[in-house]
Amino acid sequence: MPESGTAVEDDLALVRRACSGDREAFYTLVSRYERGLFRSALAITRNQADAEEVVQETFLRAYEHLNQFRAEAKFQTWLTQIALNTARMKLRKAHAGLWESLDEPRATEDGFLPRDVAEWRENPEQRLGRVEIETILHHALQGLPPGYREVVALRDIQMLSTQETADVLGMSVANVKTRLLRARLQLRERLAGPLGKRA
Amino acid sequence: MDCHEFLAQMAELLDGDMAASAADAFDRHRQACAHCRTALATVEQMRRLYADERFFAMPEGASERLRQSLAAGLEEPLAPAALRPAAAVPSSAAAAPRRRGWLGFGADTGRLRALAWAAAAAVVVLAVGVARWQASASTTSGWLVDSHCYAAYKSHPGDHPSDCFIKCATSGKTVGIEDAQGRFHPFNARGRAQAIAAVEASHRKDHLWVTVKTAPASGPALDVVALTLGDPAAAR
Repeated sequence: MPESGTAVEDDLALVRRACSGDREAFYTLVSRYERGLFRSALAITRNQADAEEVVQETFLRAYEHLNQFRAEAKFQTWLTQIALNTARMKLRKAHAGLWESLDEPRATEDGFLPRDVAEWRENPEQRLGRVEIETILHHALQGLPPGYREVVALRDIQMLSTQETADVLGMSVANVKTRLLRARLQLRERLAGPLGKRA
Repeated sequence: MDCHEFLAQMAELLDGDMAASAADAFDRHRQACAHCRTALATVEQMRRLYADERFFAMPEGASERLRQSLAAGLEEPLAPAALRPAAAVPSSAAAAPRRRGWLGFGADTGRLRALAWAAAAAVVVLAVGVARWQASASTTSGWLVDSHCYAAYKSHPGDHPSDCFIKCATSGKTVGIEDAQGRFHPFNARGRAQAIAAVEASHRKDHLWVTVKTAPASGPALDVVALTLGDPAAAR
C-alpha cells in the first residue's frame, strides 16, 4: 500500500496510462489495492462472497469512471469511497429495515470509560489457531454498529490514515478520532472475553 | 490527568498525534492507573491483531476470480451508437442483387418483364431504405441512469444511494443511458417507460446494465425501440 509522495505520484501516472487504454497500468493498481479493499469490505459486509463482489464492482466502476478521477484526491481514497458505497449498498439490500442507526444512543457510549478492564493474554497467536482468532475478531466486529465498523475497517484494518479515513467517510478528523476511540473501546470489551486471561 | 482525559489522549497516541506537552501527564496517569494501563495495552494489542494481514485475507483464488471478472468487464469501451464510426452496410443489402436470378424465370413476355423490373426496383428501393436505417439505427449498451443520479454520481462517486434511480425516475427525472465514456444520453418517452418498467420488474432498483436498440434519432433523445437488461460482462 503506497504511502509516500512518490507512490501517490505513481498512482497518478498509472491512472493516466490506464485512461489512455493501458490495461496493464490498471491491473497494477488492482494488484496494489485489492487486498486492502478486500479486508475492509469483509469487515463491513461480514461475508467473503459479498466482499469479493464489492472488490470486483469497485474496480469495474473505477475503470468506467477513471477519467473523472481528479488528481487533487488520492487514488486510494477515491477507490475506497467507491468500495465503501458499494459495500453499504450490498448491506442495505441484504438487511433492508435492519440498518442500525448510529444516532441512537447506546448505553456503552455514555462516557468513554471501558467497563471491562481485564488484561489479555500476551500473545493469543500462541494459544489459538489463525482461524480461531480470525473468527473471534470477526465476531467482535459484527457486534459493532455499522458506522463504528466502518471506521475500524478503514483505519485499523485497511490501515488508512486518520485524514484518509475522514476523507472517505466525509467526516472531520476530530469526528473520526472520537468515533474510532469509542469503536476501539467497544471492540476491546467484546474481545476481552475470548482473549482475556479469564478465558 | 483523569481517566477520561487519558483515554482521549490515548486516541492521539495511537494515531501518533499526541502533543509533546501532554506526554508527561499521560505517562504519569498510565503508571498510576491500572485500569487505563490495561486499556491502553489491550487496545494496542487489538490494533496489532486487526492490522495483521493473515486475518481478513483474500481467500484462495479470489485474486484470479477478480482478474477474470475484470478481463470480461474491461473490454473496449462501448460507445453509444451516435459516437461509433458509421457501420458498414449490412451484408443483407449487398445480397439483394443476387435475387436477380428469379427475374429471368419464365419472364418471356413484355408485360411480365415490366412487372419483374418494377418488382426488382421496389426490392432495391426497400433494400437501400433498410440499409440506410440499419446504418443509422443501432444498439447501445450502458448503465441505466436518471439525470439526478448521473449528476450526483459525477460529483461524488462514493456517495450514491442504492435506490435513487427508481425514486428519481418515477418522480419525473430524465432517464437515459451512461456510456462507457461516462456520457449521459437521454431516452425519449418510449425508452423512459420501458426503462422504468424494466427496473420495477427487476429485483434491483438501482443502476442496471441495459442494451437498447435505437431508431435514427430525430432529436437529442435516443429513440428507443427495444430495451433489454443484461450483464456488462456479457455485453461484448
